[in-house]
Amino acid sequence: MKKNILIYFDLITSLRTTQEVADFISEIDNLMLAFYKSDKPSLKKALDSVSTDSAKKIMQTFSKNNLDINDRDTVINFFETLKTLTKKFKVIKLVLAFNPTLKTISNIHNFVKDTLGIGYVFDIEVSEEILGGAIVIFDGKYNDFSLKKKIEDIFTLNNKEVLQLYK
Amino acid sequence: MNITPIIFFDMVVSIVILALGLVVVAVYLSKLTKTLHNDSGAKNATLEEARIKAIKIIDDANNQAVDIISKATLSTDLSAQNFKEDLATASSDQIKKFEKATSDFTNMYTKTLQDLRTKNIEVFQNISKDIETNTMDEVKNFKESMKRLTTLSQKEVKRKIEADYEAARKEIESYKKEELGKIDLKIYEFLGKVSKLVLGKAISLSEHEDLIEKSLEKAKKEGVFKELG
Repeated sequence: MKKNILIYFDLITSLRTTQEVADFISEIDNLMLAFYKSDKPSLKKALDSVSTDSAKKIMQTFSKNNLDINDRDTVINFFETLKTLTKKFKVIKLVLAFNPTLKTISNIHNFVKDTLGIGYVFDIEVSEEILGGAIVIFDGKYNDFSLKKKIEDIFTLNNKEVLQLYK
Repeated sequence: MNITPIIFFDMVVSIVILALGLVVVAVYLSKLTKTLHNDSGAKNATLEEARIKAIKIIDDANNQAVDIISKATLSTDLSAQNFKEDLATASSDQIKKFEKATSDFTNMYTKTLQDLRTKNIEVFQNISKDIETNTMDEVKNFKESMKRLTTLSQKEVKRKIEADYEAARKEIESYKKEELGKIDLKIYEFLGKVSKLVLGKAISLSEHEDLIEKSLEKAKKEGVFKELG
């Protein structure tokens, strides 16, 4: 089977957070285990061991790329490559003021995909104190773009004006 | 010299008959002498001579008879002696043969007993082995049956657990989606309240998203996403 990474595009880009990646890897492990241990390996049967959503995505990928689900080597190579790719994700840690909905995560992820490209996932932490915006941590670099920081900066820079307004 | 008992008895009978014959001759001659003595005196000399001859004949006959009897007695003694010796020899032989036969029989009996004992031991050993083999086979069959039954039970239990697990997983998945939906609604309300409290106005979700996107854009511009490595 040729190792065309585009095959995995839909599956890879559907993963947005580190939690989703961990869950997906766990599902692949379960699926591989179910596939290996059955006397007559069957992908369709093994897909029962993963969530309906993941099973649907996997089947769509096989179908879309004309991959033979009955070919043992094809199936094994597919999941081995998929697992390898999931380990190559770059993690952006985001500290947000609220627990984002799945839709919000999708929106932010799409923005990152358009801006930075594919292969990024979020490690989201919630801290209400920051009020809004986000603290972005990537590759050991910490950048505070929160609303709280902006307010603090305004108070620091425009101390006199603010005090006058208060009076 | 060996004389069979039959010949020995024949000889004794012959001697007795001969002795009786001599006695008869002696009586007859005595009677004849008396007759002649009475009938004729003239003939006395002749008679005397005849009598002497007769006496001589009788003496000779007696001597011969005695001799024959002596010989017969001697022969009888010898025969008896031989018979005794033969009997002793035969008895000794018979005893030896009997002893040998007894010994042989004892040996044979001992050997037979030994063989029988060995065979019995072998038979018992074989029986023991057969019992052991049969028992081992039965135990093995029992183990295999138990293993088969256990495996079947395990498979059945496993299948049931897997089915239950799958049902539970789907139920949890559905519940999770439902709860996440509820949380999403609450978050909108919460965000509105917090932003209103802090900023004096409510920040909508889209404004929050916009702020986050702006943060990311700024981070990009500041080169946050340029990897150190």
